Amino acid sequence: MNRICWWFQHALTRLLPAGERDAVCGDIEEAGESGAAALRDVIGLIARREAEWWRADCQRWLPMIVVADLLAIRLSLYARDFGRQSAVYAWMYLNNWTPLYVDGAAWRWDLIQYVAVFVLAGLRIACFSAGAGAAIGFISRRAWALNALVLYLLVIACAVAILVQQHDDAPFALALYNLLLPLTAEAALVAGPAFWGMRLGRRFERRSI
Amino acid sequence: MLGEFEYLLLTAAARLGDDAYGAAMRQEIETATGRRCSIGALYTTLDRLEAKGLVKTWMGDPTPQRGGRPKRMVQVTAEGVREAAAFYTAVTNVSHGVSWAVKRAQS
Repeated sequence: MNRICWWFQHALTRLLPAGERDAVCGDIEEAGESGAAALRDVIGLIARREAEWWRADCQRWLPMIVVADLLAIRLSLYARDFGRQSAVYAWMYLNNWTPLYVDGAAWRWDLIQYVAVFVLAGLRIACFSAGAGAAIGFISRRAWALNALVLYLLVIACAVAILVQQHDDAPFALALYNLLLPLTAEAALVAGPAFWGMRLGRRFERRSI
Repeated sequence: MLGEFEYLLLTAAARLGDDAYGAAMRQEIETATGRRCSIGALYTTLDRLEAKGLVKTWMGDPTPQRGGRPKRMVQVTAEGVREAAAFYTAVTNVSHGVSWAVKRAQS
């Protein structure tokens, strides 16, 4: 038990700045504390540090949480609509394929138009998501993890809403169009680009100090 | 006005002088109060006192008895001495004539 406590204590001290970590570990060693007491001390220090920071910086992280909420909901709705509309057209072409679609000039032009429209719409949502992620990563500083968590919880909530929604149209009788495509759209156009944007925003934020 | 724990830290640091650092101050406070002093309370209060300009801290040299780890050394500033003195005067003045202060003076 004592060894487990020491292991956790060592792992948790990594959350402290390097200089302070050494000073704290030295103090604990000098006091000759047990593993449980050392663990309690380190947890207490980390909790107090976090509490101080949250209290001091609430003007900064509170508005960002609201922004992250709104962005997550809006982007998820865009992705859901995109998934639903593209499902209809994908079903129309893939499940009812006929060589006429490429042989006939008018049909071919329609196909090219639809593909272009959906690629551009998908890119637009992905760019918005990456931009939102970058803003969260850059502005929210230490609160970025919380804002990212809020954003992803809302994206997951929207994905669950997609799962429980029922549609009577023919394409949505198939799991590919009813579930797989909208969920892939959520993941590829919102969750993935937002994560990439957040990492980019964090990198710029570190450089700007 | 200082808080009670801030005053304890300033007093412990002033008493220890050049030997004031985390573990020694903790020991001093625990001996004086008879209560456990957590590292979290000690270090976050030290940060606050440093931000107010009442103490100055720096990393000392590594010592073998601490596994080669450095100490966070503490020194009370002139402003810290003034604030601690003001707190002590206020506590002494407000305690004048109360039963526990009279008892302590008689014993």
